[in-house]
Amino acid sequence: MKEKTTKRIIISFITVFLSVCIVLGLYTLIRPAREFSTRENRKLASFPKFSFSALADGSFTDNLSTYFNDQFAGRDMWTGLNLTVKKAMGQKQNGGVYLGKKGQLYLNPEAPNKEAVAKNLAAMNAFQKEFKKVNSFVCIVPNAVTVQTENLPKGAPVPDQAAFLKEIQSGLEKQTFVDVSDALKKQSGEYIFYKTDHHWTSLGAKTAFDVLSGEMKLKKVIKDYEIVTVAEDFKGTLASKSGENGSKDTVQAYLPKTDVVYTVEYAATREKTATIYKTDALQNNDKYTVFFGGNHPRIDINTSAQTGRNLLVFKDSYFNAFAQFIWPYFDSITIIDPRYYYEYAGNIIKQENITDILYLYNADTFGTDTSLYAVLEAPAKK
Amino acid sequence: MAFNQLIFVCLFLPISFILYRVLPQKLKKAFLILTSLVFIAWGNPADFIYLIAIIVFNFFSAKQMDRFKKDGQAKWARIVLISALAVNILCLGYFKYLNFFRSIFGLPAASFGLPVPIGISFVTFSLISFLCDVYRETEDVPRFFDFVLYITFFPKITSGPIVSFGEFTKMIEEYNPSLANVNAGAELFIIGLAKKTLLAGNLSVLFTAISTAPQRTALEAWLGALGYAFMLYFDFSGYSDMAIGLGKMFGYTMPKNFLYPYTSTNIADFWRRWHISLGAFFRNYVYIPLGGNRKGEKRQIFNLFVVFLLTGIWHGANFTFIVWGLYHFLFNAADKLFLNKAFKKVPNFIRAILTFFVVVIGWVFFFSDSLGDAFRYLGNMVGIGCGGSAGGYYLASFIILLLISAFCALPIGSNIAANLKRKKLKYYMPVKAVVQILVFLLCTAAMVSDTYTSFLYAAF
Repeated sequence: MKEKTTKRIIISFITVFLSVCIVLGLYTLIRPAREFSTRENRKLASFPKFSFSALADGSFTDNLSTYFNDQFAGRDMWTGLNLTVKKAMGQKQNGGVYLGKKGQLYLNPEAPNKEAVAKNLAAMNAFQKEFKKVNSFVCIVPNAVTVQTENLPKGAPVPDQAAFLKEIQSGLEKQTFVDVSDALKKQSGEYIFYKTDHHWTSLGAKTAFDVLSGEMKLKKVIKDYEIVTVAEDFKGTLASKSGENGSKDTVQAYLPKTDVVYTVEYAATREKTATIYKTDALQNNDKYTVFFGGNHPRIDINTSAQTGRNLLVFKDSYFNAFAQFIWPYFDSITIIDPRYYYEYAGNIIKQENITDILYLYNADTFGTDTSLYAVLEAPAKK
Repeated sequence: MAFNQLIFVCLFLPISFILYRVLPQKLKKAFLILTSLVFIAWGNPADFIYLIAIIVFNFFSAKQMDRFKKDGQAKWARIVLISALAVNILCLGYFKYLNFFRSIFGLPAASFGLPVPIGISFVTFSLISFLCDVYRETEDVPRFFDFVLYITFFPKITSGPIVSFGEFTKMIEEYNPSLANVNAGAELFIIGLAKKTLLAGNLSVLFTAISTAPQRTALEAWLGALGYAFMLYFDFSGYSDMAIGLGKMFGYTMPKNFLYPYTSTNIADFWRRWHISLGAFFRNYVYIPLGGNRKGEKRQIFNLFVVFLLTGIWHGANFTFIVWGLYHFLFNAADKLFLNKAFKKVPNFIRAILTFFVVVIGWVFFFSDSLGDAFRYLGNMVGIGCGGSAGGYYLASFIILLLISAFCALPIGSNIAANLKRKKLKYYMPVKAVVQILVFLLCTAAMVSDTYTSFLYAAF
């Protein structure tokens, strides 16, 4: 090859390389900043405020790097490209999420925190001892990764949740452990977990309710529901976490056909409504928040059921979709999310005349929860 | 700032490079020092103060030493040398090893007034090399700003290569900002970036998943160790390639730091191919001053022991690194005493496989948090204390990546490229350029994805 041609190729290569760098770099700096990333479901960094003290302690340059990364030109396109390359090389997981067949994503639960679980179980037992007359039911829901395994990548390591549930069951005293695993597994061909979200669908919640209603001896169980599709374009947290953006989920509401009516009151805001659904939430990214608008410290449901039973619930977000099935069977339901509620729950037993307690969690959250015991322990008597 | 950060690749590098090219020759060196200081201060402005202090101290120590030498006061020159070396080693010890020693004696970790300065292990070795070279009179005391450039030169300050002062002087003399050098530098930078982001980055997914799992099968343990061996190599050699590439783009050629270490035919060979600049440092400033191989076999073995003990300690403040260093010492000594003779007739590729096996076992000590963990992991590799059943999953998910890694760790690719180049094919250059740009785009995708996070907590 002639020296001149060689030189020309070298110059083109260097020019293209540096141009790609600097065009991406400068465009990132000058274009208007995005506030929110739908794909990642989070707020993006804004341009850091300059001050000499921030410069001196290194936080200015740190924040500038973060801003630059968050606002990088074509960010979503680049992350998509990277995932495509990873998948092409055969990888079956990204960001702690298994990329299953048919667009199904699975959260791989963390290993349970044994100490925390033991602490919660001890507190639950002590609480039961304190309020002997109350009937307690404990329902820990296994996650999609151990229930709906058909689409899971072959041989993917998953925790042994069956053993974990057994451990919980044997650790409980004088409380009814409700195992919904088999019922869910029987339905595993159905749409019981979202493909792109870590929650169960309304159908999944109903499957568990069908077991629970028997165990709790609920009377005149409603068989008829009006099923309303409220969203068809739900891309849940697993889509955000893994960056796998191909599938969409449908969110359905199950409205029991009954004459019983109810009101919902949110303790923190004193807001009162006549429905557990929040339709404005459907404007959000996270369509699962259509149930109660997400998690709240305490919610009170009062109904016209007149069954003489009052329920106290300790729960994580799995209960939110479950609520639509259980409300017609109790005069009142007090729903506590211990992660956001900081008072002694024993007071509620007396105030609300509680007859039943339900602990409803998914196995992943229950295995790592460090807040439940705190609401069950009576403050030290003075 | 790391070389595989977007802000470095897309702003710092192109802007500093272009300004460097357009500035008049007289100002280039000053600009390079300035650029290096900005690079250092970017991560932590306090580093900057530490560096300036230690640079000034060492420079004037060397001046004084030189003066004593010229005045024939050899004893005083020696005293200055020893005290200056002691100051440097104490600084390194203070930041890097104080908490290790405190933990041995059961004391709680101390907090430093300053954050651990950038590249302190590399900077200290550069300073030791400088003091020794001036003391031995193999090098003159440089001009102050040349010395500042030697220590702060941004391509090498964070992770090497450890350029000895003599090599640096040569590097300055052979300064060559030719287009061919810029081209070679940019190529090497992209290759290094690809090793780091595309190979090491994805291999770390494999290694992390397996090493943090509550239990593993023997197959998983091997996959994890193999994944780590490749990850460490691509991570470190990739970073060295980027450093050397950057140096070349600015006209300075630093010596090679890795030479296909996983093709080594024995452990001594491995240390001539792995982190070459560290091996050279210990050879020149520890092994040879101790007498090297000139004082008989027993003394040579002892000298090797010292070098590998220091090599282990240098890598980190933990017993695992010391054991790893001594493990390499044992194989080195065995090579010298009998293994080399015994394996003389064994074909090279079998020797390479055996050496690789020895190295991989060594990495288990290197990556484990404690000796107990290391032995548990080694136990898993031979089927003791195993559990789980995910071997098939990891094999299926990562076999392509591992095969690509093996290919890139062998010189096959570069041999093919060299052959094609020799044939002077018309399309060789342009195709190579296009491939490199495409690889760079994939690296960009990986760099962006590294910062990918989703906000999950509030959703539960």
